[in-house]
Amino acid sequence: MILTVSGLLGAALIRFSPGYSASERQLDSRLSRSSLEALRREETLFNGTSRIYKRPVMQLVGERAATTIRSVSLGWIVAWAFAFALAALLAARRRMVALVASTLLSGALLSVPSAVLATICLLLGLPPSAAIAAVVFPRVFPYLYEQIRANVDLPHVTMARSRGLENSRIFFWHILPGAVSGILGLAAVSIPLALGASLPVEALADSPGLGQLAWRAALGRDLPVLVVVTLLLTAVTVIANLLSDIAIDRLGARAR
Amino acid sequence: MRMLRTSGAVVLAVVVLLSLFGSVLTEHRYDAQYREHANATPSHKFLLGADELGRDRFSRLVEATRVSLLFAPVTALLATMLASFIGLMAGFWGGWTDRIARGSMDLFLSLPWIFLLLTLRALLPLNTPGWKSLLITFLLLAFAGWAYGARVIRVNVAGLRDSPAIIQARACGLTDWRLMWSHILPGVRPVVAAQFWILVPVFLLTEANLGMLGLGISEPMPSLGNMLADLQNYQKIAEAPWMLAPAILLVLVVASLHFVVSGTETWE
Repeated sequence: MILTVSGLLGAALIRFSPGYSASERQLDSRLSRSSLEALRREETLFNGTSRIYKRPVMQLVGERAATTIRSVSLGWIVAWAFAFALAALLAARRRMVALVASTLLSGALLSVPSAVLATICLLLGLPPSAAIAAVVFPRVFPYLYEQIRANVDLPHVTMARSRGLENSRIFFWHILPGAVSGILGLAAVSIPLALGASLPVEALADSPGLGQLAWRAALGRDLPVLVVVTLLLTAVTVIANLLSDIAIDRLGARAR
Repeated sequence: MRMLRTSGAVVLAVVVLLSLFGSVLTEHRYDAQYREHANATPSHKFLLGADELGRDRFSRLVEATRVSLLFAPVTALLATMLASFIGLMAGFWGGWTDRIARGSMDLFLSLPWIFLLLTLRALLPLNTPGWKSLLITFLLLAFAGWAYGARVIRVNVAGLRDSPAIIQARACGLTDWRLMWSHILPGVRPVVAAQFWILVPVFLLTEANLGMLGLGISEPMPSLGNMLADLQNYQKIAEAPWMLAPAILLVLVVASLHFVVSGTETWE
């Protein structure tokens, strides 16, 4: 339903935008009269043509999606691996110095705009996925830490520890199952974060992905491209949330 | 942790003072161009050097800080007011109002934030005067940033709706509006305040991202975002590291806000 509403809104946005089918210089405040007709016209959305590239929007999207998928998934995986390892280590050991250091690291990264992180990565010669990882990590780490820490002191974990079970066994069999629902929810939430970060990162790193396409489209007021890219990313977000909900239901039931 | 909070408060105070009185330290206006000093290095005349149009970077930074520190809280206030209004209606009345409000919240939360802003920004004319682009940028942020706050406020209002105090007030014959204004809103005030403080750094960072991509506030009006656009020529940073001053200032402000407002409780 969200996708349908987004699609209708997208089509309306294109048609209602001041100066649709006019160049920037010719803009005036009049609104289009035939908005409802435009909703019915098939070139409005997915079969539309880019105004600046003069090519079908879906063709442009298809060419660039692979780059974005690659950099976003790699950045997301790196961020999660790092955040998970650090959170597990800190929750188990509880060293104050390490905790303060990671708070500072995550707080500092959280305070840097993703566009600046992209510039720093470019300066250091790192790929765009590193910048995406740097954006996702600080937003995931504190919650991940809280999820794991909340399960460390539960009675059954203390009991398992007192029976002399190995740390890895305690973590994977007793702590993690309790935290899995929260972690899956967080995983779904972090996907749009990574996708959102791809825009400034790809724009500044000159990486030919969907983020760069959307940025150029915004500068050139190429609304058909912008709306289609936004809708596709919304679809990814909705599907990720749906999958996470299903997984939470299944795994949550099993953990209980 | 308390030390972090205190340091954050001190940094914020210094930055606010700099934005208010920093212009005393420079004789240049933020938009005055000295073409003969284009790309000048820092000196007693230009404290942070000059940009490629010969404008004093320091006076631009002072003005940019003033603009960003004034408009980010104002925008956060607008977004919080919108969130409070929708959250109150949805939580208090329930039923269809709640369903429509929840649908709108889900819709806004499902759309990738920066792409949504980019689309909305591109709908409006890009070539606008500075003050107009400033209004457009911050109003867009307020319009697009209400959903998360509204969801949190709605849950809290729904929890309060059936409390004994509210039932008694209703029994005394108070109207819905009066109940909401005098009894529910004071009850959720801490949540509303928290939403406001969460949004201020978010809007500062989003304006910075938009500005750096050339879709924020238009020249010649400076903002921390459009001053960061210089960093697109990142090859020049090594020879002119003072270009990083707006980025450093922004990071300091946002980090300080995080530490002062909410960052520390999580870890205590």
